[in-house]
Amino acid sequence: MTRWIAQEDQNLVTVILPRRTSSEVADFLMDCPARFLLALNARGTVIKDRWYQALIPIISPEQEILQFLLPSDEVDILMEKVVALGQLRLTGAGAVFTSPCKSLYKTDDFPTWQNGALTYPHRDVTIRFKRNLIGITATVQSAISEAVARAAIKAGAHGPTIYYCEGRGVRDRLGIFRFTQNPDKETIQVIVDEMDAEAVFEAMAAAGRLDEPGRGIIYSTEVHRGIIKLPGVTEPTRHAASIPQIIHAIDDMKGSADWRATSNLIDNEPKSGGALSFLGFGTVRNRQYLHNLVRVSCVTKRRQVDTLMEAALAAGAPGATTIFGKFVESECDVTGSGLRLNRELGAIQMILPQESAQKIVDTLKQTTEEQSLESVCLITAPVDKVLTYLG
Amino acid sequence: MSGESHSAGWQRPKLGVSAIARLLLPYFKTKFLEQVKSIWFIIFYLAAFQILILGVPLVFAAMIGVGVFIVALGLMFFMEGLRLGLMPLGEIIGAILPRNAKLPAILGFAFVLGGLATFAEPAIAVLRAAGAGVKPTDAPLLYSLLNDFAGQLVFSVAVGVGIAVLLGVLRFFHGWPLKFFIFPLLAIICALTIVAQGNPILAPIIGLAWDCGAVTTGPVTVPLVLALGIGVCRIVGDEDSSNAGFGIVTLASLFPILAVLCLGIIHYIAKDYVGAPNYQAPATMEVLPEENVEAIDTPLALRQEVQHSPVEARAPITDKEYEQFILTGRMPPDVTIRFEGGQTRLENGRLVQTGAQIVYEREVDESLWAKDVEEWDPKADFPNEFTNALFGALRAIVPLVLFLFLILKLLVKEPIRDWDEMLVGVVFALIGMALFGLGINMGLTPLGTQLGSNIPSTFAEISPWGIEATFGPLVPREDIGKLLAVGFGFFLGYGATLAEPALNALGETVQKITAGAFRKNLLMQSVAIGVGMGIAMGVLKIAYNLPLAWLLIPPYIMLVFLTQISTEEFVNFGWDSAGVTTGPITVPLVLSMGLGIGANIPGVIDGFGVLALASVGPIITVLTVGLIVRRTSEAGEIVEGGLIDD
Repeated sequence: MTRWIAQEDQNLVTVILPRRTSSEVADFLMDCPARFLLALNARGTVIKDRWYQALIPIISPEQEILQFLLPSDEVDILMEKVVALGQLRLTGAGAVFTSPCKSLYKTDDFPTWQNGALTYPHRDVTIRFKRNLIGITATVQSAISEAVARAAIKAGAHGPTIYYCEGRGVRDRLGIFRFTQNPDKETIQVIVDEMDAEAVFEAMAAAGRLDEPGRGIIYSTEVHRGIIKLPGVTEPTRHAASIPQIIHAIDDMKGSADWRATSNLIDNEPKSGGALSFLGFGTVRNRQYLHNLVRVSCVTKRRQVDTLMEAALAAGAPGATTIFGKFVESECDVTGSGLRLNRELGAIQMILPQESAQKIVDTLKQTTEEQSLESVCLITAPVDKVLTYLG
Repeated sequence: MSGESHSAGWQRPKLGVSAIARLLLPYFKTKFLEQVKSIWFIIFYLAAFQILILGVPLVFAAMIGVGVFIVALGLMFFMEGLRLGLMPLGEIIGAILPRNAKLPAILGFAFVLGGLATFAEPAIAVLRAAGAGVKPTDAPLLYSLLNDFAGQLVFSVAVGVGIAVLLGVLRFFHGWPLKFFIFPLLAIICALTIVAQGNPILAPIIGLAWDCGAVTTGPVTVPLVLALGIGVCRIVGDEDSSNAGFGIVTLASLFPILAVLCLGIIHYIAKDYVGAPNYQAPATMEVLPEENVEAIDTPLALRQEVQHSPVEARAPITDKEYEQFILTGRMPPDVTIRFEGGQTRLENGRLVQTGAQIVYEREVDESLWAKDVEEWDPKADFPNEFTNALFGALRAIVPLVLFLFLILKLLVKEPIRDWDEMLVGVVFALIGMALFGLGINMGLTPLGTQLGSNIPSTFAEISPWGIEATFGPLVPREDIGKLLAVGFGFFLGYGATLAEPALNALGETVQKITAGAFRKNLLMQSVAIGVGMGIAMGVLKIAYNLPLAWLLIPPYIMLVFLTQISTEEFVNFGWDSAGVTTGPITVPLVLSMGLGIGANIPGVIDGFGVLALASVGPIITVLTVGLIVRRTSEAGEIVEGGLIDD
């Protein structure tokens, strides 16, 4: 019989690092009582700050995303350590951020961080993490991800982190003819100040035309705190400090990003199409947003993903994305020469209205029990704003 | 699919015919256009070169057109078959093996897979075509290997590939860098090559050995082996293994070189080849394949001296036209009048000709364009060729897939995810390979062969392929003409590489594994330029009859240096792409060109070596591009990397 454990006070910590530093940080995390983390390959986005930047392809440095669950009282200490190891004080070095889980249910064989087993004596955190962050995530067709990423940078975000995922839902309803639909999608993730969130969200949505059918979905979630130093723009000339660095520094001194509010100086108002607006030109469009939704994430073994996803779709989830990553554990089988034999983890993510979210969670739990699946973890998190084609 | 999931929410909708059509049409359209995009360059380049630069009409134009269309269609099915069927199959097995089988069993599986793959895609036919002009008197050992010992040759290549896959998989389990394999292997192979170069009997097999390495890895083997490696590396290894899964193809292109060199040396030591003491002639000599032989024949021009003093007019006036003339006194419009014989005198300031005959003769247009060019090859037997292509496809895919399914069934008890999709993929791959083979025979081979045999017209007088006339040299100075041929070779290699299915699969895999950080286009362009340079070198080799070893060893020494300073990641990508480049599109084009040029150069006995050179080029370019990319991305980080303290 599957036993469910509901854990309070858990935080989802995400670390985004370039390849250079990611293995060192991962090794450190493995030595902590964490014992496991989910590793995803990703790519960053950097554009050249020249007038011809739209003509040349964007530079995509390799990055790795490490994700793990942590009890909230250990988050700060661990994040501080990650900042030190990943040299996150440097601009362009990466990012670490955390967001609390609204609820977390897991089967008892799903490994989580053991609370209280800190390897460090409790001490005060010396780093001030940035608060009031908003995470914006867009899952789009591969063909338009570059346009969306460029738009995000131009609107003031750092270079988005992009990773592959599979879009499910419509595709799985086509039976054998599903081979006509390529499931590969790209997820574009940025973390911005609350200040910039609106503009970045709009820019990304407009660049991807995400309110049209079959293009993708964009949503924003709250990020509790973190340090975001992802690269975005390379500048042709070298000054003592780059513009992003100066902005960061003033943000830090001021303690918030409010000083940047310049609505009367910069025309942030969406432009109308002018004389041609009756033709539907211009950016003004009545976009219909959905508010106060829930993101349900289900993390489980790769081979169980399909079973659970079909159950969720049957219970009324409109669609889902699945992400497959390497599940790195400190205690696992090794090959003869000491290489790890990893397990593979899959995550199903669904954006759902409040009322059906609970139903889906219950269905997933029920399916897990009926089919006696192992290592299932269900996490919900609030979603502020969603834009997609609403049929 | 669990039973109760149908109860609520959604049901699988019943798809009507129109709904299915609405799903399939845009799908096939986009996929077809993708393939058109990848092959248009080579097709247009070849046609334009023949028509505009050489000024020779295209023979069998209609057939080539149909053939090219079929190639695009076949490529579409094949690439989708790879994506849906073969690659997922390989990846699943790779991911299951490390947890469900013991290491010796896995290695045994890898060995068998490598060997099977070689038998499935026999490269021997290609190599024989390249050696079609080899005479037992010139190169006895090479001749023996290609003819009497063809079975042994294939077998040794299969063993080589088997060992390569085995070591490649073992490498993943131990996390050994690819460099550790490349350096010693190269040292051995280069040493053997130098030894062979100094020996008149062994020297001719160098080309064969190096080409074997280039040719063995075909469009089915490569994606399958790549997928297998990626599957294994999904499970095995530390976090920093984005490049993991590559490298098997590299080993699979190096080991056959070693195997063939060894086979040759064994036969040499045993004195077992044509004309040697221990040689026993086989009862029946196998007949050489017909293809490419015409390029080696005496040029038609030499046989047609007769036409300069024809007994009958080249465009005779018919009896009917004669009767018409008698009746009406009018001649057909294209007839000229000529006076022949008689005496001419100067009389009172006038020229008077007496006793001359008036000859009415139809005008003959001397340009090649006036010749009757066949639109369709009358000898072609396409139903038969299609059966052959289908059989080839079945032989290449079915044994491998059956073997993999068997392994899967033995190891995994639970149902396989998406088996129906995989089945569609395997069927697509079969259809695709069959159509592709047919299309190549109808379209690309005639196009490539005529270009290949016409290209020497830049520096020599030849008879254009399929047209009875003489033609050339285009450029009065031979050296410049040869350089033009070298330039042609570059773009031929470039265009053909972009169309190669295995390289497309590799590019997509690299892009997927690096989550898009390393783009497919970057890889394909750098590989294509590298192949172009390699083929240009190959043309140079044939045009001036340079010894192959001196062209192969310096680039490889340079490669050792580049490999040493490159990151493991790019070493994997670069060396793998070398094994992938020479596939079903490049090989016939390059071979026919090599043979065509070789036929006009005294002393050239075979078309070997061009493919081997075409494999070196891409490694150099990919590693160079890798170094540049690393420099720029590091520079990008440094610019951003000033210290701020919060």
